[in-house]
Amino acid sequence: MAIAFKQETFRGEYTYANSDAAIRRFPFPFAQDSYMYSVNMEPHTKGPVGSVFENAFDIDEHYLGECEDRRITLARDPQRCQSLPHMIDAEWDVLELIMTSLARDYPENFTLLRDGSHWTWINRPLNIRQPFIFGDAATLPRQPFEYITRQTQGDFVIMDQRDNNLFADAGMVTSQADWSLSFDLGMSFMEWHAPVPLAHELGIFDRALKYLLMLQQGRPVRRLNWTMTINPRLDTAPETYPEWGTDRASVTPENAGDKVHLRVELQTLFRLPRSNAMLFGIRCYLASLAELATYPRWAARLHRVLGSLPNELQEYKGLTRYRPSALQWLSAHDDGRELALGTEPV
Amino acid sequence: MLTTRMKSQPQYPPLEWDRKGRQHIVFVSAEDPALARHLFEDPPEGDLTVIHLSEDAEANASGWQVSLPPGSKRRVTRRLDSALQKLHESLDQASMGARLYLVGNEDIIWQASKVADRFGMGADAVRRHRLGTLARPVYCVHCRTTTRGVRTNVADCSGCGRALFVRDHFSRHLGAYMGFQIDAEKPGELPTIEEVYR
Amino acid sequence: MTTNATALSAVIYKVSELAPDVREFTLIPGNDELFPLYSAGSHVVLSLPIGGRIHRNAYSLLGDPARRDHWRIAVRRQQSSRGGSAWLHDEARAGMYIDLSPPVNLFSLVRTARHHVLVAGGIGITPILSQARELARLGASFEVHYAFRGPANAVFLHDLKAIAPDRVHPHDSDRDGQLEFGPLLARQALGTHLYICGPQGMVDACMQAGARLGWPSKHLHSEQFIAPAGGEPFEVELKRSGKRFTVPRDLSLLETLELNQVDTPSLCRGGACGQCELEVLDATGALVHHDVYLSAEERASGRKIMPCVSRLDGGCLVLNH
Repeated sequence: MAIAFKQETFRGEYTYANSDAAIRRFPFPFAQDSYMYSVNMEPHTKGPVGSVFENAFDIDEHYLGECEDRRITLARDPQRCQSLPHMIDAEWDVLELIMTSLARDYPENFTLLRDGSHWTWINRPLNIRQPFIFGDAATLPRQPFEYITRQTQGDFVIMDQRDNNLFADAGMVTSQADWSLSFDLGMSFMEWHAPVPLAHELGIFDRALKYLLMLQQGRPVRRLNWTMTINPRLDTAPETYPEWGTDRASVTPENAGDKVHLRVELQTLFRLPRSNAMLFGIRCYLASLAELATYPRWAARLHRVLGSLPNELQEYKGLTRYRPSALQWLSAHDDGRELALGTEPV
Repeated sequence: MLTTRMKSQPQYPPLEWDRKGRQHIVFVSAEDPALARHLFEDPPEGDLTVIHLSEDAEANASGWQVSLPPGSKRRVTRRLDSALQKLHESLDQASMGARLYLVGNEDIIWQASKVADRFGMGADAVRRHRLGTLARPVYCVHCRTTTRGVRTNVADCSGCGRALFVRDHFSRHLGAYMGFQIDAEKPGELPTIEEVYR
Repeated sequence: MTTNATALSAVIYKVSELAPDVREFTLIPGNDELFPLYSAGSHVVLSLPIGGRIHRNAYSLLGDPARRDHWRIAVRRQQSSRGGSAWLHDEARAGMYIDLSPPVNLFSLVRTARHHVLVAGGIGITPILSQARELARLGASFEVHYAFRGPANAVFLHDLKAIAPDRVHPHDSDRDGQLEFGPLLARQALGTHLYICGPQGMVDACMQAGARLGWPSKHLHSEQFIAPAGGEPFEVELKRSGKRFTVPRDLSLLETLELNQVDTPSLCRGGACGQCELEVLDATGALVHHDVYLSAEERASGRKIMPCVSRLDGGCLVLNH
C-alpha cells in the first residue's frame, strides 16, 4: 500500500500536521481516566493492519519530514549520534534488522538485495541505491548504525548486555523527550532512568530490567510512554532547551488546541543476534489537542488524565507552566460522562 | 519537589579495606588522620601502594605518611595530573586481584575513576571515600563544558555563560553533574541562588 | 529461568565419532529456511523423544554463526544420563528430525574486557571453541587453555589451533596432572575476564582459585544452561466455573487456560508485569514461582501465582477464577 509522504517541518514555521488517517491510527495511550507508571510491556507481535503496531518499525506519512529534521539536527550537532567502539557488531545487527524489516514490510518503498555479503539497499522515498559489503564499514558512506537510522523514523539506543545489566553504549537521539545522549552514554539501566520520579519506588525498573535481560531473539517487546510538547517539535533535547523552552510560556487557553501536542513514544526492544546486545527503539508520534479532539472520547480522557496527574509527573514531564491552559481547552470537550476503559477513539 | 535521592548520584559508604583483594592501591588527595590511622592499623594482606596528592609535597606530618605500614610504597606529588599519571603506572603494573581506593573530593575521585575505567576495573574493585568540599563539577549540556568547583544551586557556565541549574543526575563517564539553562522558559527569571554544596 | 520460545525444526545431517564417547552432530534446517544467527557461547535445547516423553538437553553451538545452513553440536555420553546423551549416541541417526529451541546465550563474551582467558575441560570445549572464533574475528586479546584426558580426547584441538594459532595452551591431564589455576590467574593484568566450561570439579577449582587470588566474581564466568520450560504436570481447578484441567509438562498454566478458552488477562508473558496474577485458594503441591513480580512476602503467602511462568510441583491448584 502506498504511503503519501508529506513535506513538512518540525521547527520554524512548523508546517507539520496529521492527516485524518494519521489521527485515526494515533497510538493514544490512556485506557483509563488516570495514569501511573507500570511495566506495561507486551510482545511486539504483528498488530492490526494499518495500526502503528502492525510492523516491526513503523513508517508513516511523516517519513520524509522526519528524516530531513534528523539531518538538520545532526548537521547542527553531530554528537546526537554516538557509538562506543565495542558496539560495532551490534551496529551491523541493527542495520540488518532494520533493512530486512523495512524491505519485508514496505516492499513498495524499500528493497534489500543480498548475494552473500554483497548487499544492495534501495530506499525509494529517499532516492538511495547503496551497494555495500555487509561487515565492511568502509563500503558505506557512514558507520552502519548512523547510516540506517538516518533512514528510519524514531530514536534508537543500543544497549550492551554484560554484568547482569544493560548499558546505553550507542545512540541516535534526535527526537528525544528531554534527555541527553552525551550525558547518558555509557550509563547502566538504573542510572539513565534515575531522573524518573516514583517509578523506582514502585519497583518498575527492577522488574523491567530482569525481564529484558531474558529477552530472546525473534521475540521483541513493546510499550507506550508519553509526554507533551509545545508545537510539533521533534528536537526537544536538553541541548537545545534554550530554543524550545520559551514555547512553554507561550501557551494560552485559546491557542492550546493547536500548540499543545501529546507526544507518544512507541518503545520497542529487540534482542540482537550476533552481539547479544539489545536495540531500544523510541518511535515518536505527535498530535495536537485539536487533532485529538477529532475523537471526543480522546479529548475527554486526556482531560481527566492530565487533571489527575501527580505533581511529580507533571514536573518531570515539564507540563507545569501550560497545564492550566491545556486543561481549560480540553474541558470544553469533557461533559463528565462515564468513559469505558480502553484506548479506542470511538 | 522531588525529595527522594537521585539513583544516579553516587553514595560514599565509610571506607574499609576489601580484604578479598590481593593488592591495594590507595589514591589520596585530602587529609584525614583518623581515617589513615583506622586503615593502616589493620592493613590487608598483599602489597600496599599509596599515591599521595598533596600541596605540601614533603608532607611528613600527613596521616598518610605517619601511619603508613612498613613495606608499603608511597608516591607523593603536588600536581593532580602527575598523581593521575602515577595512578596509571600503578594500575598498568597491577594484576587481577588488585583493589583501588580513592579518597578526596568528588571531582578528584571521578577523575581518578576514569583512569581505573581504562584498566577495566569495575565497581567491585574500586571504593570511594569523599572528603572535603561538596562543590560539584557541572557539565553544561548546551556547550559540553565542565565547570569545576560549583557551590551554588545555579551557576554560570564557564564555557557559554548560561545560568545553569545544577541537577543531582550524575554521569560517571563524565565525572560530573548535569547543568541546564534554568531560565530557558522565561529568560531572566532566576530562582534564589543559594550556596548548597559547601 | 525458563523459555517458552517456539521450536525450530532440524534434521540430523551427519554424525561423526570424534572420540570414545564423543559424537559430533551436524544439523540442517528441517524446512527450507536458514537457521537464525547467534552469538558465541550460545546453546540450543534439543527435545529428544525417549520412552514416550520428551527429554530436554542443552548443547552449545560450536560452529561459525555465519554458516546458517548448518549447525554443529558435540555430545559426550554421560554415565549418569537420564537418557538424553545415551539416546543421542545409541538411537540418533542421520535423517531424523529433532526439535530445537532458538539459540540462547548465558555465556557471552564481555566486549569491554581488555583480555579474555578461555578455559575448556573435556567436552566443555564446545562453547569455548565458538568464543575463540569470535575473539579471533574481533582481533581481541585472548588465550585459550584446553584440558583433556589423553590425546584421543582432545576433540577440536586442531580446529582451535587453526582459529587461534599461538594462543592455545593444550593440557593433557593424564600426562601432566590437573590444570593449575593459581599461576594462570595470578599473572593476569587488570581488566581480564575468564570463561570456563568443563566438569563441575574443574569449574569449582577455578572459581576457588579466583576467589583466593582476589578476582572480583563478575570477572569469572562459567557456562550455565537455561532450565527447560515446564515441570511436573499438575491439576488446576477454577473455583467459580468448576472447570478442571491438567497442565501438562510442556505448557505453562497460562497457555493451558488459554487453550481451554478460559478468559484470563496477560501482557508480558514473562513474569514481570503483574497483569496475569491469579488468586490461589488452595494448593496440594508446592508453588514454584519463576516470576520477578511478586515480593518475597507475596510468594511466601501462597495466595498468588503468575500463571505465565509459575507452576505447582504436582498436585492440584485451586484458583479463584
